[in-house]
Amino acid sequence: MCTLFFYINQFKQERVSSAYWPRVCHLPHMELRLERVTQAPVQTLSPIRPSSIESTSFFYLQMPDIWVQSFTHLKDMPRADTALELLKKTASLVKPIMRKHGWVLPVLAEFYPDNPSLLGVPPTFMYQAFTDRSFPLALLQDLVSISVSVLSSDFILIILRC
Amino acid sequence: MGQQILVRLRYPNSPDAFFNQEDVVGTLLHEVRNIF
Repeated sequence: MCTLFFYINQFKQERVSSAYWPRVCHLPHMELRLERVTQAPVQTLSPIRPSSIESTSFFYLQMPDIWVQSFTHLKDMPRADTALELLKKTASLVKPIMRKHGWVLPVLAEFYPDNPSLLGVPPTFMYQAFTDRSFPLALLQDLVSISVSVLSSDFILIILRC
Repeated sequence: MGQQILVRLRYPNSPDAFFNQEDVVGTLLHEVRNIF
């Protein structure tokens, strides 16, 4: 169980005025980070660089329109370029869904397992960017049972039961 | 790793043949949904 606090007044103000990402949720372990960005981000948006996951930091970056950040295909298989195009087309087709939920997928990869009935492997975790379109409470209501109690006029307490 | 989604693009018996676009999209949506 984790607990988080935030100010309603600050939150409303941020939702109107912030161009950056003050809130980043690390979903699978149910760690919820609420952080404030006091200065403009110093990092600029890095382009898509395949097989460089460590260099792509999502925190404090300005919101890009990139939701699948890199692609990996099997170069040894025949028609590898067609596979890469298929991956990119697929990512562009699911882009509206990723954008609406704020999901950021670092790598979309092709694989060719020996098990013929295996079609895909899900990620163990994925980043969630809280934008104006993906409100945190609406997300949390889908995920876990939460209890919200108002402590004062501008301070609320949210308890997550994971 | 763990931050990646793996999808199968080719048929198991013939690696030259690819799945349809709709099948790959369905697989990807299924895997995206599986995390939650």
